[in-house]
Formats: sequence, C-alpha cells, structure tokens
Amino acid sequence: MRRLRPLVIPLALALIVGAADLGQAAPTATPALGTDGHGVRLVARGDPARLVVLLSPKRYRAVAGRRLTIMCAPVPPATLGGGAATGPRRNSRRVPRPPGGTAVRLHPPRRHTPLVTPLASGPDWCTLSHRVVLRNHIAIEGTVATVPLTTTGAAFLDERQVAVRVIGAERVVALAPPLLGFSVRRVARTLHAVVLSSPAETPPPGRLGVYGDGRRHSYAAQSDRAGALLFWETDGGETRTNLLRYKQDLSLLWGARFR
Amino acid sequence: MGFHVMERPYARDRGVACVKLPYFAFGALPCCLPALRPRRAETLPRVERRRSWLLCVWGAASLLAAGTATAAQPVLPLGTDGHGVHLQYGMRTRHGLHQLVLTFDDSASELFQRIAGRRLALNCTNFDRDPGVLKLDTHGSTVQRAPRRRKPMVLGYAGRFDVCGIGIPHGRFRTTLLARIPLTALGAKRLDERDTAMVVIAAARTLARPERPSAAAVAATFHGVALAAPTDTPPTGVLGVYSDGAEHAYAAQIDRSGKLLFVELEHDVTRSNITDYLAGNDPLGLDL
Repeated sequence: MRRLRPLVIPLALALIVGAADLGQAAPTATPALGTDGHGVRLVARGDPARLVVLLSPKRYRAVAGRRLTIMCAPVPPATLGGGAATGPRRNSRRVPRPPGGTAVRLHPPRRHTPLVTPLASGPDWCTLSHRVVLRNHIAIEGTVATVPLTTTGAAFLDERQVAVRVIGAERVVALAPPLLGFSVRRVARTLHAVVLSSPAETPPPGRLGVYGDGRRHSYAAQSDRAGALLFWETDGGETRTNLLRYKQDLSLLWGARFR
Repeated sequence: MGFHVMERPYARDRGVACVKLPYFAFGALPCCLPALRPRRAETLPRVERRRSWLLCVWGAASLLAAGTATAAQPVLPLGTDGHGVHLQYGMRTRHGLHQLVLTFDDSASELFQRIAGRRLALNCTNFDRDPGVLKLDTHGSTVQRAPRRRKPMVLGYAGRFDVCGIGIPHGRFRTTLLARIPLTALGAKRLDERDTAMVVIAAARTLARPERPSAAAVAATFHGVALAAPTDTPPTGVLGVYSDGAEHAYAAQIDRSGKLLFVELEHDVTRSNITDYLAGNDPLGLDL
C-alpha cells in the first residue's frame, strides 16, 4: 500500500475534484448557520445549553436505528505561514478530532425524535457521521452532514472546501501531463478550471485557475467566499502555499463535502 | 569506476574477484601480481601474461578513481545509528539475499532492555534510484520477538535496503521508533537530510511562536547564526535564521551533501523545499 500511495492519493483527489461541481462559481451569499441546508439542524437548548440535532423526516430515516457520531470543533488557530498551531489529536474510535474537538456517539431510536447531545454550544462547526459497512465488511464513518454554527465556522468550512479543490487540482495538473500525456488545457477542462498564463495571474472570483508547464512547475488557485486567494504552487522541489495546515492536519478535512 | 559502499555486504566475494568480480579494483590487484614478478611471469602463457598486465593497469586506474571519488563517501556511518545499535548483513539466504543482523553493543545495553523479550518492528526502505514524476520507493517491514538476553539477532528478513528503522510496535498502528540506520550512501544522505530538515523545521516553528522570539535568541538556542536577510546563505552545517520580529521568518541549513534546506514563513504563506517533513510525513517511510 505504501508503494501505491503516490498513485492512490492523487487519483483519489482527482476523483474528488472531478466529482465536485467546479463549473459553478462559489456562492457569494453567506451560508445559513446551524443547518446544512438539507434538513439537518443543530440548535442549542436547555440550561445549560446543549446541542440538539433536529433532522427532517427523510434525513432521520437514514440514521434511525444506527449509530450517529457527532464531532464538533472550534476553528483551529493558524500560525505564521498558515500552518497548524497544534498537531492532530489521536483518533477516537475512528473519528478524527481536530484540535479542541470533541466527539460523541448517539443511537437514534427508530421513532423520529430530537437527538439531545451532551455537547455544549461553543464550537464553530460540527460534522455528523454514521457507520457504514461496506461489502467487504469493513466499517467506515460516512458523513451525514457538516454544519457551521458560527460565522467563523462557516468561513472555515468554505475555506477548507476550496482548499481541497486547490490541493487536488494542483496534484492533477502536476501528474496528469507527464503520466497520462494530457495537456494542461485538457486537464483544466476536466476540472472545469481556467488556464492561467502564469502563476502571477489571478483566476476569476470563485473559479479554479490552474497553470502548468507540463513538467516541474504546477500551480492551482481559487478565491474563497471571503475573497482570499488560496493557492498551491510546486516548482521542482520547492513548494509555496497558504494551505499548509490542511496537509499538516488531515483531521481538519474530516467530513468535507464537495459540492 | 569507483566502488560503491553499498557493496559492503558482498565483501566476502572480493577474495575471488579475479574470477567472479573482475570489475572490482582491489580484486584486480592480486591478479596482476604475476606481472610484477617478471621471472614468474615468464612461466605463464603469453595470454596470461598479457591479461595480468591489463589487470594491473586496470586496478591501478580504479584505485585512482576510487581516490578521487571521496565525495561519494557516505555522510553518516553505515550500519549503525551512532548510538550502539548496529544493523549489518549476515549470511546469505538460499534466495541469494543477505539476512540482516541486529546487534546492540555495550553502549546500547540500556536501550536493549526496552525491547528485551518484546516484539520488535523493522521497517526498511529502498529508494527509487531514478525517480521520475513519481518516487516509487519500495518498503518492507517485519515484526519479530527480541531475545531476553542481549545477543546478535538474525532478523527474518533479507534484501538490499538503503535505510532501516527499528521500533517497538504498540498495537496495530503505533510504533515507537528507536533507531534509524543507514545501510548505503544514499540512505545516509537521505537520513542526514531528514535530520537537517527536522532542525530547520524546529527552528522555523520557534520563530513562528506568538511571542515572535528574535533571530539571535533562536540562533543561540539551536547553536546557529542569525542571518541579516533571508537571501543570505548560512555556513555549511550551521543553522541560519532570520526574523523581522513580525510577519517574516526564515530558517535554513545546508546538509552534509551540500543541499540547502529552508523554510520561509511570510504572513500566511509558506515557502519550503522540505514540505513533506513540514506536513508531518516521513518521505523515508520509516514511521511505522
């Protein structure tokens, strides 16, 4: 597996990025807080306030009688250079926990009911996941929803979504031309990206921009909803980026959904 | 021509170098001895005489080449971690590969107590000699129980590797690494690069602390030098750091093979040529 890792990761990222609808510009409206927009709501109730999961009947049916894991975390602080201030915490029962994150397990009954968690209402974002058993009997945690609870959390979730697109696209631009013989223009078309004439060029707002010389130099960039340009550039053995923390701590990408 | 240090395990073959390894310089010298003894050479057939002269010239040229190839010497001692743990090739298996033998000498007896009677994990890597777009390094690992008393351990593992790591496994996914041992010059180079990268990253993280320590303070901590500008190059083997005290920090060091490893942090942008290490990965593949 170690030997295949250089191949598997770029291909997986390529599939992810390819599956993402990159053709659409990023929405400029601020996302609603406390909901994923598709029938999952997280509200604070009681005294002291606890997070309560409210699901629409359709979403509830998907988790009724199964094991539901809720992981909530604050937005991690970044250091000088955009790196992670602290390293990832140990996984807790297959649930990665970003710095400061806590995870709880619930067992939703068959009957539709609000799910009261022991979590206090302080974190910036939460991810709901449930156990999925694959055909080969391997159980994984499948993401149900990712919900921003604060404005900071919403900005972070948007940034990490763009980050995964950019990091994945850069790898594809770096590897596809020499390995598959694709031109950078063709790769960009597959990714629904615009081809940049040089890394100094800025892509249109909300659009993914890629640059590659087909050999050693590759670059991908996209601006997030807040207007910050997120980029990853590789030139030979040298890397320049402002997304380092997502590489340093993969738990920050837990539950990332690519829309 | 120069000989490869990675051929060390096959030193036993040098005695018959005239026959089996004619390309080996030191093996050629005994074969040319008849050429240096004219009386004895007269007793040889003409073909043998000519061959001995050729071998003599060949051997001398090879020795000269080996002497000029001192730059290819390993940057770290091979077969040892420098702290009493030795990993060397032993007997050849029936598959033609050499078994690895792990030894703890007296200076590492305390370290051995940590593994005595416990499971021992060995993870080895053979680096891709000609990496293209993808680096296809090969890895191998094995777990076996260490003896209770200190003695050479023949590991149930054979093969030619560049670098090996020895550790104690905890469960399935976690291992405490005890030693990293280079077996070839390339392995020593990569291991030295890793050690240098770790120092550079530690210095860069110290510079990036919220209190923003001065470059002089960080340089004193790491026995390095403060640079006047990020464009300055530190002396070989010495850490160089720069900081403007606010939003710009730089740490760099030249490793023993002469490569400058650096990390530059400016506002929220990182620029580096050791990003793998910076991201917490181990390109050596030894983090079991």
